[in-house]
Formats: sequence, structure tokens, C-alpha cells
Amino acid sequence: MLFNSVIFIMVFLPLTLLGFFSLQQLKNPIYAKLFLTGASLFFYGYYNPWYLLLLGGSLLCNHGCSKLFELCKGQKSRRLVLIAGLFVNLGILFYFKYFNFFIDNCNMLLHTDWNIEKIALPLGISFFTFQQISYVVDRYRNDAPYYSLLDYACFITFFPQLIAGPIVLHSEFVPQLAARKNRKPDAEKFFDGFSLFILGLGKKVLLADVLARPVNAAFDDINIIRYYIDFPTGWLIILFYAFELYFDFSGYCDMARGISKMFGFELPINFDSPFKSETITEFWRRWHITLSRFLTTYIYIPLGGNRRGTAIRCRNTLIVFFISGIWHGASWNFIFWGLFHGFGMITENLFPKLRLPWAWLRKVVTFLFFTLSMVLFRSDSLQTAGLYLKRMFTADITPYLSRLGNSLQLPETFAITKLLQLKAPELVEPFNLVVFALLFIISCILIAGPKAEEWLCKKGRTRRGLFLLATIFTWSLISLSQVSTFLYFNF
Amino acid sequence: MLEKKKALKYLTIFIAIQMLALILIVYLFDPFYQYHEPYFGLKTVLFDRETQVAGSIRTLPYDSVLLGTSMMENCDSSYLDAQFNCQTLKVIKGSGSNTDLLYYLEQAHTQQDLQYVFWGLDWHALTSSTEVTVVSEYSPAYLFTANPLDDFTYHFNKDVLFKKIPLFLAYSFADINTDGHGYDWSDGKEFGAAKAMQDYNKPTEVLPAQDYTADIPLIQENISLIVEEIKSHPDTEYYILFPPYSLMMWDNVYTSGNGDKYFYMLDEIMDALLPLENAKVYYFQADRDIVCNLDNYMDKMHYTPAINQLMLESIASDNLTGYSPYRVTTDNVDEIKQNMLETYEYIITEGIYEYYEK
Repeated sequence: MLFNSVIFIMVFLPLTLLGFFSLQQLKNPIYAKLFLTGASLFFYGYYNPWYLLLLGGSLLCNHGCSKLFELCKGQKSRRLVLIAGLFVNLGILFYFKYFNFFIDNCNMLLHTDWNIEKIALPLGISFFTFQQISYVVDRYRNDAPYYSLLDYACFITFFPQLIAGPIVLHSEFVPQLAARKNRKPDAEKFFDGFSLFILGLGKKVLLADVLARPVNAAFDDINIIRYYIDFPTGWLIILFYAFELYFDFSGYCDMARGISKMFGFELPINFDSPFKSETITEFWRRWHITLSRFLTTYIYIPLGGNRRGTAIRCRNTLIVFFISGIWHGASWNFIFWGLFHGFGMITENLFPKLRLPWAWLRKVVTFLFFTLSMVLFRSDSLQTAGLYLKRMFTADITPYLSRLGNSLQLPETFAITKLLQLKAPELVEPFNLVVFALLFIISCILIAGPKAEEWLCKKGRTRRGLFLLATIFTWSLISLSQVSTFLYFNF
Repeated sequence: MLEKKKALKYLTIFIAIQMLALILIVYLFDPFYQYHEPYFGLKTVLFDRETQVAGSIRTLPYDSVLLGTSMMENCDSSYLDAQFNCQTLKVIKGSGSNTDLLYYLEQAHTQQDLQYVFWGLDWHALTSSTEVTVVSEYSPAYLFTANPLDDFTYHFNKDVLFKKIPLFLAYSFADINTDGHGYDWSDGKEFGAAKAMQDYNKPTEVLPAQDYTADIPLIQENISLIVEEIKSHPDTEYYILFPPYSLMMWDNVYTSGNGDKYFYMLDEIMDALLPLENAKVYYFQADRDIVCNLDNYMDKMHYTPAINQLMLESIASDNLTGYSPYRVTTDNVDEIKQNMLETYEYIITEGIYEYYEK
């Protein structure tokens, strides 16, 4: 099920909230937890119930490991359990996410012709697998207690974070399940959550989905890249994609955090105004924070972090970014995307004197670095990315810029466009470009402005702010007639 | 700054007011005719067949139906109203399969006692799937039910609010797609040989006659459905019209090796329809003045509104005087089939080469 769907907003969410808080009033919290887990499983299996088998199997295996850690006291046996747990988690991830990629590369390198059916990628597999790896490793290190199966299932399957994160740590969530203060519905928390959910919904539906139109129009047709993309359109489209990805994923995370708050739970922040970063290192402290935290805690530091000299530090950075790249998708594009960021960060750390003098310039350069890397992220192959990059820096100018606005086709501007078509057809393209420019300006203002929660604190409780929130909600709701999925569901 | 509890109250009230306003706007203008005929003196505008047909069958007044595909869309149904003293509703499905059109027709029968059904029968309808496709998982359920509880996506729909309602109002004021010209798409379209020929690259090779035996069960099933429809409504009079496709279409039939199939279908449908007492059949496809003159067309099949009018005048004249040169009866069916065969022979040997090189 999608957060940006009528069935979720109007049926699933209200009913789940009602059921959860009704059952929380019973003395024994087990019923509320059972209900929440059941609702989460329904949410996950809504489109494909078969995925529940995978989720359930993975969950039981990891809980089994946790139980074994409880029983095994010797270091050797604990190590064996850890290896088994990692093998199961990484094996599942490898099979569902990377096996096709592996076979394709084997065929290419070994000139073989192995043919296997395309394996469908279950939703959110990367997220819940990483979450469980972190628990198993923490159990091994004696940094995590044993949780009952119900508590553990409630944590892993908790639907707001199940499909696209944030990657929540057990220590952040499970204690909240037991907290008594969370058992009563709290109007203040509900307001915080609902208003954050609305802002996230607006980011996704009113911005990301609209920005996606010109981006998809260009990237879905190789001939457009080959013949039409030029310097201005190439940069504009990839800037739009950078905005789209940010509004899409941070919108999702705002919704996830908002829904959790409605239930009385806090989830970690995943985005902290990343486009205000002055360096790539800072960018990765602000973008997809919970993934960076996972990679730092469970890969970078165990490899030695930055304690063993510059060379090892550089190696570790590259390994982490290689994993970050391939985590985003099984393709060379993502691997090169990760390494591009890795090299960027290494260069930045090795040559601190290259640091630009003005903060605003550093922000712009960091943003452009990220935007450029988006070509690899969005293209479906390295060839397409190469072609796109070449066209981005070509001196040819094509008439595509004047047609770019047409790809928006917004219902909101339909009446004006139609009228112009009848009365002044020569003004249609300029009008579309004005809409395009407006969208660009709005995106810039939003990424440079305060975070959603900061805005809510400052203006969210004025009458004007509340009216704006209501309008965003209603406007988003009427935009759901065409439902889109979230980009990060694929990762 | 308000307290959070109070803010929540305000937020809920604002959302409720906005949602109620949306419900009211869509209910009052109702561009898909889910609830009522137009209010506020607005005209009935039919401009979007995919979303308006189902509702118009339920809520608009009519006692006759003009049924068909884009081949019938440009017919002026008000002419039929005047000639047959009836009130005709256009029921159109683009590239409509036989079963989809029958589905709509059945809905109309449940709403009204139909006097007449003016039915443009396309050849491809006889080879189309016999499954209803208009009502599917891909179509909005609210269009096809009278239940207001499933109308959520109708009321809370950006396309309805920002596109359909403004178009509905604009067309109503500008008198476009109103009265008998519902769904009429001819305005602004270019007709003529040069335009029509852009739609057809004449193949240089002619395929051998194709074996169509595998299609026969489907053809028979479609014919049975049509016959069953007509027989089960004996009080309704059916005017079945076979619209005139251009010579390019017939050349395409020939070069693709499908000529035998078409003549088989012609035999079968005539044998099935002619004995029916409440059905009158009109065949326009053998008229060389129409089909061999590409100035009448914009592509292989679609003709000018003048041809639509000619078809309507022909059935009206038959109704009035008892004579139409296009009327097919058991007495002249063999002659008409022979005419069609000769026209076909003429097209593939001579007619097409007036426009294309040999």
C-alpha cells in the first residue's frame, strides 16, 4: 500500500489508529501490539501477499539468531551464530536484489549464456534487511537485549518505516513500545504527526510527481537524449531530478515520521536540509542520515574507520560508498554513483586547502556535484549516462527548451493553456516555460528554506498556516487520482 | 500561535470545509452526469465519451440511442430526433468492441423503453473479443454505478475539477458538442485525399489469402450476441448501418489477404439480420461515389460529417417514403453483395491506382 493513496489516507490509517488506541486501553498491551503487527503485515502484503512469506521468514530467522545468542555463551558459538545470521540476511538480499545482476555480469565476462527468469524485487527488502543485520550484530556485541518475538515483529514490520525507511535501530523503537505514556492518544502528538504527514504528502504529490514529468519525458526516450538534450535542458532536467528525488524521499520520510508520531512513536530524522551542505562529507551527514549511520557503524568503523592512517581511511571510504552505491540498486550506474561520491569525499578530505572561500559558493558547488551524480543515478545504463553527460556539455542548442514546458501538462494550468491555444497560440510555449520556471523557483525556495518541522514550529499553528496545511492536504488528495510510487521503494 | 489541541481542531475544520466545497462543486456541475442533467441553464455537453457515456445513460432523458464507434460520432442526432420524433442519446465507444457497445445498450434498456436504436456496425466489431472491457480494473468504478458511496474519486479528482468542469462550462457557453453534436470531433480536422493518404502506405506485396477458420467461432459468437439483443427487445426498432470505409481500407484488406474473411462476415451477418422483423439494414460500403473519393476522408476509415448526414438522411427517407437505395432486404441482398464484390474488384484493380502508383 502507498502512503499517497486514497485507501491508505481515508481507510487504512484512520482504522489502524482507531484499532491501535482502542486496544491500548486494555491492561495487557499484547493485543495492541498484535493488532499493529497484523495491520503492518496487511499494509506490506496489500499488493503482493507472497512477499509476506519472505518478510516473515527473514524476521523469524533473525529472531532465531537473537534467541541463539541468548543460549550460546561461548565466543566461538556466538561468532558462528553471527556468521549464520549475516549469511541468511545477505543471502536473501543477494538472491532477490543482485542475482540477476550477477548472472548478467558473469555472462558478459565469461561469455556464457546462463538464462534465468527475472527475479522480482520485494518491496523494502534493503531496508528491513539492514535493520535486522544491525540487530543481529548488536546482539553479538551484547549491545542489544533479547526481545520477545512480538516486540521484535512489531519493530521490524512497523508499517511507516517498513518499505522505505528510515533505517530504525531497535534501541530507538522497542523501548517506545513499552512506554506507558504512549498508550493514550495524545492530541498534541497527533497534531505534530498529522501536520508533518501533510507536508510530506505535499512534497511527494504536489512537487516530486510534477517535477518527475519533464524528467521522465527525457529519460524514458533515448532519442530525446540523443537528439534533443543540450546544455540548458540537460542541466535543467537533471536539476529537476535532484529536486524530485529529494522531495520524493524526504516527503516519504516526513510522512513516515508523521504517521509514527500519530501512533505516539518517534522515528529518527533522515534528512536535515542536505542542499545546505558546504561539503560532500557534510552532505552525507544530512542526506539519508540513517543509511550513513548504518554504514558508518557497521562497516566503516569495524574496518578501522579513520584511525589507521590516510590510505586505510581512503580505502574504507571507498568501500562504504561502493556498498552505498550497490545498496541503491543492482547496476553499475549505482556503483559508479557511489564511487563518484566516495572519490569526491576523499579529495575533499585530502586537500582541505582546495576549500572555496565563500560559504554560498561551497554550497552551490556541493549541490552541483550531487546534481551531476544524478545523471548516473537516473540513467538506466552507463551508456545512457555517458550520452546524457556528453549532451549536457555540448555546444549545440536544440529547440527542446521551448518544448520542455509542454511536458508538465498540469491540470491546474489546463484552462489557461486551452484558452491560450484558442486566443493566442503563440503564447502557449512561453506560458509553459513560465510555469516551468515557477516550479524551479518554488523548489529552490523550499530547499533553501526551513525544514518541515521548523516551519511547523514557527508558522504551523497560526490560522493562516493551518489553512495552508488544510489546502495542501486537500490539493494532494485530489491529485491522487493518478497514483505514483516512491522512488526509494526500488532500493 | 494556537495551542496544539486547538490547532488540530482548526485544521480538521478547514479540511472538512474544503472537502465539502469540493463535493458540492462536483455535485452541482456533474460533468460526467452521475447525478443529474445540467443545472443553472447549462446545456448538455457530451465531449468525453470515456467518462460521460455511462452516466449519461443513467441520468439524461432519451427514448432512442445512436450507438457506435468514432464512425458514428459526427452524426447529428438532432436530425434523427426531428425525423423520427424521438429523443436520441449518443452512446459511443472509441474502437468499440461489439460486447462493449452491447453492454452500454443493455444499460440503456434498463433505464428507458427504447423506441429506436441507430446502430453503426463496424466490421472489426465482429472479430472483437466478447468480453466487456469498459468496466474493468482500469476504469473508475464510480462511472458505472449509481452508488454515491464509491464516488470519492469523482469528487476528489484534480482532472475533474481543473479540466472537465472548465471544459464543460466553456463548451456549454460556446455551444460546442451540444444538442445533436455530442462527441463530434470533426471541427478543425482536415479532410481530403492528401491528408487521408498519409494514413496508408500501400504495401508493395500482396499476401496470399489468409486462413480465417480460427476466427469463425468468434465471428459467430458476436453475430449471435447481436441477434439475441435485437430479438430480446421486440418493441425497439433497430436501424443497422454499415459505414462506408475508404478504398484504402479495402485495398488494405486485399493486400493483407483478408478479402475472403470480409465476404464471409458479410454473408453471415446479412443472413442473421435480414430475417429479424424489428431490424432494418443499410449498407453504404458499395457506394463507389463515396468510398472511391478520398476527398471524403481524413484517413483509411473516417469520413466527413457530410457522409454521416447522408447516412442519416438515407434511413430517414426510408422511414418517410419507404425507399432508400442503401436498404438491404431479403429481396436485394444478393444484388448488394454482388455490388460489393464488384466494387472491391474495382478498387483493387483500378480505384486504388487513381491515388497510388502501380
